[in-house]
Amino acid sequence: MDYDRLKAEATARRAGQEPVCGARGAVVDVGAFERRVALRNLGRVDPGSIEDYIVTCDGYSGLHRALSIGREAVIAELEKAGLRGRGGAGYLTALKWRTCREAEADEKFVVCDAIDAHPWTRTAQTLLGGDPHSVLEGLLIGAYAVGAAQCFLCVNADYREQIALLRDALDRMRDCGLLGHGILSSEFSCDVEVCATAGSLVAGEETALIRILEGKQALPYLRFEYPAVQGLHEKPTLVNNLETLAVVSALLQGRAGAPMAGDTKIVTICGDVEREMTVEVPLGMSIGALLEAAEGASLGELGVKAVQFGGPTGAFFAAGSPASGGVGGSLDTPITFEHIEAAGSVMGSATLRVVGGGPDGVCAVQMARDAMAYLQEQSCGKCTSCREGTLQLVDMLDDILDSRATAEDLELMLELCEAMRTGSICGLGKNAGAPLLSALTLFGDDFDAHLHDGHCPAKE
Amino acid sequence: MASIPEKADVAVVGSGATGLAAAVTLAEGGAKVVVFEKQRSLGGTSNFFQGTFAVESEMQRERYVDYTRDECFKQTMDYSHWMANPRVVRAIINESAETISWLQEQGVVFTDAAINMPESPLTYHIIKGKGEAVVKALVDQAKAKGVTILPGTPVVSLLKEDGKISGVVVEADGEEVEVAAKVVVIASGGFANNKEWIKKYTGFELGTEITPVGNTGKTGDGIRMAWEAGAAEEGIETIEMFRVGPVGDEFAMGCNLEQATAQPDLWVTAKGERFCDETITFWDTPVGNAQSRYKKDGYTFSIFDDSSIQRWMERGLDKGVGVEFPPGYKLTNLHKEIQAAIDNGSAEVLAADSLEDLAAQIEVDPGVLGATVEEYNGYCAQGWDELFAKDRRYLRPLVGPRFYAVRARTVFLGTMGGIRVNGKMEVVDKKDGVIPGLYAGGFDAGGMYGDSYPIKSSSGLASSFALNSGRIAGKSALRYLRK
Amino acid sequence: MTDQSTESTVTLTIDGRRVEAEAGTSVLYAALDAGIYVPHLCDHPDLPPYGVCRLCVVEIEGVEGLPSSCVTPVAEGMVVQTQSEQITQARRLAMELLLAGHPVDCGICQKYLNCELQSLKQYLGVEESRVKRRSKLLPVNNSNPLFVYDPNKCVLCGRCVRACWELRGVGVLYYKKQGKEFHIFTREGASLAESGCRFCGACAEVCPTGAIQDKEGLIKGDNRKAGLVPCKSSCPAEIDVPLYVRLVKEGDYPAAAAVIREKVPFPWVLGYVCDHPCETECRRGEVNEPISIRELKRFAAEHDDGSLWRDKMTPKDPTEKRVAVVGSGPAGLTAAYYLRLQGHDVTVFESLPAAGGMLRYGIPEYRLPRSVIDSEIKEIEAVGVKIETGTRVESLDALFEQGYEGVVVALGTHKGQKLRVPGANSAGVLIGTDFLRDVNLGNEVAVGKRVVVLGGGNVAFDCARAARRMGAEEVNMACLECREEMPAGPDEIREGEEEGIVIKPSHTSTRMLSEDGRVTGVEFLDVEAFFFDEDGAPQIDVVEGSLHALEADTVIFAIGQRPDIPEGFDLDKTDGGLIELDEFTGSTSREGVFAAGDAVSGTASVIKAIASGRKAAVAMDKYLGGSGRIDRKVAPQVEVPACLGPGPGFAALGRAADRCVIPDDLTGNFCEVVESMGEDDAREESTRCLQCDLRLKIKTVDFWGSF
Repeated sequence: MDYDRLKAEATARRAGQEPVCGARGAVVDVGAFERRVALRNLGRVDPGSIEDYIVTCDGYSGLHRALSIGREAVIAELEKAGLRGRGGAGYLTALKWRTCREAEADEKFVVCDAIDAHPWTRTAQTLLGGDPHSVLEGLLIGAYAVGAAQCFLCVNADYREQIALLRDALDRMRDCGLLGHGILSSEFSCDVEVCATAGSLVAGEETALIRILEGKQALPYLRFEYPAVQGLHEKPTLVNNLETLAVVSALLQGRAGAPMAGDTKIVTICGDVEREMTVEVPLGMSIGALLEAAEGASLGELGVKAVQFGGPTGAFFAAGSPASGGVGGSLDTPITFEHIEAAGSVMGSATLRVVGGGPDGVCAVQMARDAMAYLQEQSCGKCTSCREGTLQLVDMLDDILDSRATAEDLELMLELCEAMRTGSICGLGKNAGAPLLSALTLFGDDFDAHLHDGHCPAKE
Repeated sequence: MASIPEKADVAVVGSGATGLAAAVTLAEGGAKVVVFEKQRSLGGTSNFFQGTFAVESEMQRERYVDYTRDECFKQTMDYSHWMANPRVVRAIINESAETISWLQEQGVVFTDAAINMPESPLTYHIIKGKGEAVVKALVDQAKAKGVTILPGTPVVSLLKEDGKISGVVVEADGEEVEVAAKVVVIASGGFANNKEWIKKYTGFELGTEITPVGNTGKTGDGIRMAWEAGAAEEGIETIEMFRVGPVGDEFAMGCNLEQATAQPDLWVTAKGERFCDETITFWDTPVGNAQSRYKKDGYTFSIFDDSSIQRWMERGLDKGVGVEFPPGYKLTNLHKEIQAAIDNGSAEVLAADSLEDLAAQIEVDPGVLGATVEEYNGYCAQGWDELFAKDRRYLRPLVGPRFYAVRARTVFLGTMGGIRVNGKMEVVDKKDGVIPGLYAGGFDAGGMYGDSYPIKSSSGLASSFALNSGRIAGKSALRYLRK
Repeated sequence: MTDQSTESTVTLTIDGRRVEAEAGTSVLYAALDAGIYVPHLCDHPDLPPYGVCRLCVVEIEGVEGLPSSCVTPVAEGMVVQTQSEQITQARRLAMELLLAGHPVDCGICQKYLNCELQSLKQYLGVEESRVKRRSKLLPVNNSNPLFVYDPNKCVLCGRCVRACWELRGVGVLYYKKQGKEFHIFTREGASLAESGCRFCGACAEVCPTGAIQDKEGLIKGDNRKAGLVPCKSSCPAEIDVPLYVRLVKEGDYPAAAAVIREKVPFPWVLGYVCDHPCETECRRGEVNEPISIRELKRFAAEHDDGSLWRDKMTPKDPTEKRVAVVGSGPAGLTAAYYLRLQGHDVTVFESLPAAGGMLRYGIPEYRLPRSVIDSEIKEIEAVGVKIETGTRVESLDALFEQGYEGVVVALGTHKGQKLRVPGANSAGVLIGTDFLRDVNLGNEVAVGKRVVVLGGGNVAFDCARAARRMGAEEVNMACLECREEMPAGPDEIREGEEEGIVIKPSHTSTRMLSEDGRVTGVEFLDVEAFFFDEDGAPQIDVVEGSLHALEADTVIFAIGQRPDIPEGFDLDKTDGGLIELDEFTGSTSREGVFAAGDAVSGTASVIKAIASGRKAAVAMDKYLGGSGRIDRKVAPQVEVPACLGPGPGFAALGRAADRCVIPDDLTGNFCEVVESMGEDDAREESTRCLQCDLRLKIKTVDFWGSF
């Protein structure tokens, strides 16, 4: 079935459908600060209706275009847009795709990470629940571009509704000739499998995700080759976050007036806030400004002590400018890959976890301790420095809280953070020191109060 | 990686303190030395000692310790009732101070000259990093001086020609290989793991009545080879005993439970009766000997209650355990360890809300245990132990509400004899003639002790005997080789 | 040097030394191979690199930080430093972290001195720790057969997990978390057997600490490597059992037979009658039931075409030395066979009409068909061993006078005995060996309807079962031992009972009842306890007032045998009347005379006799100036794949069913009672093998002391 016929038939079928826009996804108001690309159809499309996606959202026109311009042109288009992966590392998408495309193999795979590796982020939940086809279309474009015939969409097993939606969507796609042999009357054949995957911080690591698909334990591995060259079952494997794929489909659809595709990021605001929300914002907006805009109140009114940005391994950001050079930054830090990295942290899941209670309300030692304890819980246990480092650090932070620690302990803590950074295979371990180090940079006084004066600043 | 040489001046059997001290001494004197070690790891039992004995060392002088060689000699001989070989004892005591300096030159760091028990002279020179550090330092020195060290290469027999030692046969990859050597120093570390010999020479059933600590694969190879070569026997029946509990995979050495078990509270036999003045716990040998009387059952119990635990948590230990847990060390982890042991269903650690229940758990007649505790509590009340005259400072009644029992076993740190040597550590035959080229030291050689280990006058002597006998053997062998 | 290096060779500098390494090698192995020690723990030469322990960190020019050398491939011109203050510090911290949860228990740990962790601790000198040490207090898992896992000792190096998944492809072990602590376990915490474990032992083999160990007592003897393959080490002839079992599994039966042939000239005979100490020790027996090794041996022998060994098992060039062998039993013929292969001229003297010794004149035909004996002796004769039957040797001097330069005495234990009890000389009281010899010679043997056999060993069963076949209707067997301690093999007991033999254990006979000089019964006391005192003398405690009798018209004594050594041999004997051998040289008291078999050891098994014959052959060959190396590699060398693959249900696979067929009417029926194994059964049975020998192919890590 070619694209024109697909669209015609969809139009005909949709006429008989009751539109249920967004009924099965979270209806999110578009705030004035938002700029939506990946979430462009959210609330506008019936997530259960492929016809709605095709007719009202130009659905699968991106795939159609990709098939007509050819593989290299697709990649060139991503390259031109400067698209960086939304999974957190910010790797150039075109580069990854080209590497995979050029890798020689009899078989290639595409894996989509839609796990939401920790509970603070809601990207997959939101996107799959509100507009699964944007992701699926991006997935097929990826498979076509690199030459893969099999895709795996790894969804957090807790997202039962989303998984049902996806499975239904795949059935519909099969009916429409969007999956299987000769997609859209082209030479391109492909299939997609939805894999319910247990959510955990390490599952967000692509090497661990590949192991899961191989039926093995979710452990990250030191890779000697990119997965794009040697991944699932040792075959070239393109691993992309679903947000990236949703942006890809937008990009290839190339609809007039669409914003520049590489300029936005889905973030989730959580923690000590009035209401948690998942929104897509332009890169470059500062953490503080975003909070104020989202909450509709000034930072002062909000009583923010700090914001942990980027997920459980993200650094803290706080009001005022921290001493230069250390990990952590001010709330004025713009949300861009470069600025966040400069603050010694990572874009990660781009969550803003607000630690409230005003600048003096929560003890920063406690804050750092809780962050470390979560990482200890999530550590897969493989790397000695992360497994033992997080455990020792929680213990040492408890000692500081109980005013049992000494200045030498602090030295050892810094050494342990460095050992984790240099001695861990995956991002969890590498960045596990960031929350603690940033707390030290930003709230040294809180630590001093425990270490030297033997009291907790939050309990005055 | 080193390969097996066809010949050497000296073959050393074993890479513990004795063998390494001999090897380095010989290499310093210009001899070509090869050390054969049966195990994959070096150092054997020598990895464990925390300190070593010496008299009139620089460190002691700096600390105004005025204990003299003569006093020490007399006391050591007295302790053995002159069963020990006086020339061996004298040679070791005289060499000991110089050995400390020599070890310091090899890179060993001593932190103090102290004691690990009351009322004894300060002979115990504490090592930074334990015996492991001595082994490491001596191996590094040996290698730097050209000694070949071959782990995983057991010596199986000695070669003799015209009545003189001419080499050894070693086993490598299942093949027997001959290595020619004019001198062999036997330092294989005794026979603590040889079930048959332990039964034969000490009367104990290995593994039940007595358990070796820090000894692995000690089958008496060196002693056997020397005997095969005609050596006389001496001191084979002496072993260095001690009392330790609880024992088992789930109990780490030096855990709080082990420390609690060593405290001078109430101890009873498997029948529920007191068997000693518990303060002998301060001296390893008496406590080991007292415990070993009850060998048929193989264990005794340390009984304590919540008030004991409270005391150990607040005031800490009476009896220090090793160098790292001195008197006063607080047992903060004890409750957790007891709970874990109970959760794991251990038969080594038991707790109950009444003495009757405890007696049932440790399979002791409740009447006997009850009477023992009642009697003991009476002594505590009157401040006089009518039975064993225990120091009243340690008479503390058991009142509950919970009572605990830990099973303590007789352990031993090594066998302490086998081959007869003279003061030059030359091996002698049954006619008291020297076997040319054959030397022995450490746990393989007899003569340093009487029937038990002279802990009070010379703590740290076992490791010291190893190091000094190794050095003396080395020096003697150099003279034999005319180097 | 540079000119010689090929494209696949890389030259780099390590600690100022030029080192060559193959491209793709890790920096770690480039250093180790060059004799430069770099501490390492998680890495293992047989496992994929992991990079998690951080002990092998090094400095590399132009590379930031301290890379793990195990996961860093060599590169041309690379400049590596393995020692520096910074490196030492990083290694020490890594070691402190590894030791933080590890118990301080070297002194009582079984693994001590073979423990990589201890050796590393010694090397790095990490006695004092800045990080907090703790006790994990996790329970030790003792619940699985063969292995013990102590999570407290585990340092999570991941070697076992990699061995399980990547080396063996079994995939049973996982990282698990309990509270804050990690340990290794099966996925759902099920037993190893339920999880599809193949019990290959790779996990225990690669474990660098004492966390996974073989259960205490399972490794027999001082030699650990041999102890790990108990079927082979417990075989007196050291037949490579795992190898031929594997070859049966792969369907290469001639190769399997060739493996057995490397050590014994009687594979087929052993397939029938071996007492298989290998099966008693088989580690599979700890999982469920041992492999049916003997039946697989018989299967291999039955499917042997001789194509792989017959051309290779030929005599060496003649040595012009003549050797006489006295006795043609399994010991004598084995010695003769190997001596002949060493090039000597060998003649075997046998007093009975046919060769085979106890194989032919002791073991009844229903247990060992005569065609099997004939066929194997034919092979021995085929290499040139001469057998002179019906020739009794009375004097060794005579043999030396005839020009023989050496003699192997292997005349067995053919002299049976009776207890010295009243009535033992009555008519109808027989001696087992004589009885069996008569039966096997086809002589007329008068057996009454009611037979009592005294004895509880295999010979007693041979007598009892032969008596049934000779027409006895009621056969009672009485022995001193209690049922559990009867010396006969369990299958012998089972088959005997199926044939209607009634076993009366714990019985001691006090006298033979007789009438007119003819036996009419046996009087017994019940035995309370039967044991050997400290001097090894047998002691019997009887039950007071338990006197009772069994009626019998024939009584057969099967209570042990002695050798019948002619006076003219002039050999020193032991107190038990056996030939005395020098422990070290294997020589008898006479120069040039060696001995083997039951005459040396007392009545033992066929496999022991064969092993003894081999030893005598070695000793004799050395005496005659030969090398004493009688082993020949005739089986094809096969590369054994390390990967086993998943094993769901493997542990539950049951032992092949017994194929014993007892004929309904026994009288006069000496047909064999155990059927051959079919091809499918043989494959299934061999598949059950744990392949314990695979473990020995795993490389051993050298400790720092070796460098």
